[in-house]
Amino acid sequence: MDGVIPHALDAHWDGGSLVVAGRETRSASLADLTRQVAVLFQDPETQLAMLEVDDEVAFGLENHGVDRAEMRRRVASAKARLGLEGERVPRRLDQLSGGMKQRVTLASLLALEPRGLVLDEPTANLDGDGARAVLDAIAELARDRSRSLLLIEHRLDDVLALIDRVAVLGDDGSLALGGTAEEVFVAGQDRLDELGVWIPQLRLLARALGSDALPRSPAEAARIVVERWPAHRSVPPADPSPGAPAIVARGVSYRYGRGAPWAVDGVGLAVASGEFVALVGANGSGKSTLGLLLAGALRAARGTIDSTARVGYVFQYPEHQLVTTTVAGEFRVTGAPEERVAALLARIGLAALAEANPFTLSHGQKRRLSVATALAIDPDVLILDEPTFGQDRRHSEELLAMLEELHREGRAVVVITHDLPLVADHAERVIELRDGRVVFDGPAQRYFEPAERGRPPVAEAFRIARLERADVPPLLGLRAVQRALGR
Amino acid sequence: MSVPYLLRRNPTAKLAVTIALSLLLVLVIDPYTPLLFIAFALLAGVALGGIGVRTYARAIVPLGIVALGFVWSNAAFATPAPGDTVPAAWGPVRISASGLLFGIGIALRGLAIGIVSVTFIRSTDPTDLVVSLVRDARVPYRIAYAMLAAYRFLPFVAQEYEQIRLAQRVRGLPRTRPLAGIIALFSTALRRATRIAVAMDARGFASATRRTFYRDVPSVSSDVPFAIVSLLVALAVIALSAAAGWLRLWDGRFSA
Repeated sequence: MDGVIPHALDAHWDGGSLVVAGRETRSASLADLTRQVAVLFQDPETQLAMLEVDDEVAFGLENHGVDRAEMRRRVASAKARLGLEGERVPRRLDQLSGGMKQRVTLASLLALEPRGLVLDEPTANLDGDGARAVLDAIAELARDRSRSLLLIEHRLDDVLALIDRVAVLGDDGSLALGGTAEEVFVAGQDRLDELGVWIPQLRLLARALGSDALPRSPAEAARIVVERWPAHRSVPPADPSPGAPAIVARGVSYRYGRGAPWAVDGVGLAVASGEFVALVGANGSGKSTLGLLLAGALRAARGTIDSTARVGYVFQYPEHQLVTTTVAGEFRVTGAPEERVAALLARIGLAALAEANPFTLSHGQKRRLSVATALAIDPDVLILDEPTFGQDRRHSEELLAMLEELHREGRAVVVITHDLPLVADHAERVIELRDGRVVFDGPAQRYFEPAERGRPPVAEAFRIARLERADVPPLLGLRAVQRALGR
Repeated sequence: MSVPYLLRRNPTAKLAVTIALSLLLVLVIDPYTPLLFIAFALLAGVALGGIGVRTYARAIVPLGIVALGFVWSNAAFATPAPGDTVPAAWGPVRISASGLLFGIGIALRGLAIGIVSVTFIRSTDPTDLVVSLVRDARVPYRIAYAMLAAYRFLPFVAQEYEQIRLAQRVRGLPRTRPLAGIIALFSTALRRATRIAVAMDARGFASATRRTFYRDVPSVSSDVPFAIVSLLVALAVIALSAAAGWLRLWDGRFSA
């Protein structure tokens, strides 16, 4: 829509026409089109062009030849609009958090005063606080209705209140469904299941309770829960008691180089066999470092880690762990016997691609491969860094089913994640880090209790519902809902 | 606090002076003239550039190690000239006086170019430099902005390689595989570069015809006097060295 295809990226234009502001994009100039339509991409790290905030906000204006006085005016107003002015905001981009970088990029787009704004999974790479700040900015843009917004998104609950229309693309890139949110998410829900497209969690909650409504907020969903939750439905007790400790950390600290701040600072915890643990916290809070310490990949500068367990570790980006030129080779390289290789490949549905180059696999396939290679050593504890990041619904569900299966086999699963629905649905225990220290360690149920803590939409709906109906159980996620309803 | 004098100069003018001084230094092979250059560059950097002595100290350590290597290899391995004195000898290693002098000369020359460069880098904002190169030196903006992107890219490459190394280690491989790491690094670096390029083009970079500049970088013409005075000082230093009988210019030989 902004003309980058076909004007800047070489692509084959198969047919059809795309009209933006009355002009065909194929014949209009890139300069004109980028003035009409601006795009915010997913990754805050790969769309900044400059070194400092003001230069970044002005970057598009410079390209369009806007004079300096006008640039100053527009940069100041775009920064003010996104809350980027004042002493608190560092001048240098490399000192900003991911959420702030996303807001800087958004400011640089607004400075161009475009008629249309495309937002490509704008919060996917952000932690809870960052995502909230960016969503607030987008909500404000949506409310003022002076420009068109096109949001490309998997996770829909946070934006349901803003949406006028929805278009769903199928696997072949064709329009599979289109219409109002109700038409798509309620009337079209079976088709969405078939396509493996995410349905808002709140809609799934309403569906589980036999409602045809599309709740646009947790409060609306809470109303449905209050009306429809079956009376005296007891919740089957969960949380089997964990087994013996597999990894015990005592006073563990680590930092990346002398003089650097402690990335992990005096952490003490035990991971028992058979547990499902979620390790949460803002970006930079030390989650991945702690994971690597528990896995034995980093050695603690202070404190001790006692481990009797074999630990598998799955990195956030599967490419990092690839070392050979064939899929099967990724297992053979660590000395896995052939029958085990075959069994693991079958388990992740890649048996037919055993001799393919792992770099040519899709993202979902690479992710499953990286999990399977970690399983090659038959680990007692499996640690995964953001396993659902960038996965579509089908692959996420497959992966989580696999983790549940491993968990049932008696292995401990530790998931480092920002994905709150995942935490609510699967984790028995939550450990939260802040600035390298453990600030919470306990059952998931208790983690989501405090009112000020961010919680997934379903948990929020139940919290609100319980204010009106005390017999509604404090459920956290859809799996618990299904279980309580006996499905 | 006001902005130091050197920081207010036009980056292209400063770069031109830095290159000119480096070329002059390349021609000098005696040890005294580079020492004078070092003294003047340090003086200018500290007094006019507001650069801390610590900054220079940190830069001198790696430069100094390389410089010592030059001294050692020339002193110990250069063929002694006929009638050369040998101030020290350990077994087969014979230190020749002319080799030692030549080595010290080369080392100090490298150090001097290093100090001049540090003065330039530390008194120049990278974004100002890019703007000035495009505007004043007519460097195509695509190339200049690519330099900026590369500058941002380096820390990423280092971090990424560290991640890959850890990822390999945690898999329990019998040995690390640097080649596989480099392939992974290339694949992610390429993807990252493509994404940055698309994001820049989406803000009109590819289609820019008449770019304007948000930054108000001092004009190059107003810094012609600065460039001339800097060169005159350099020539005066060389003249001083010649008057003292220290100056030796390069005569086309590569060893003592």
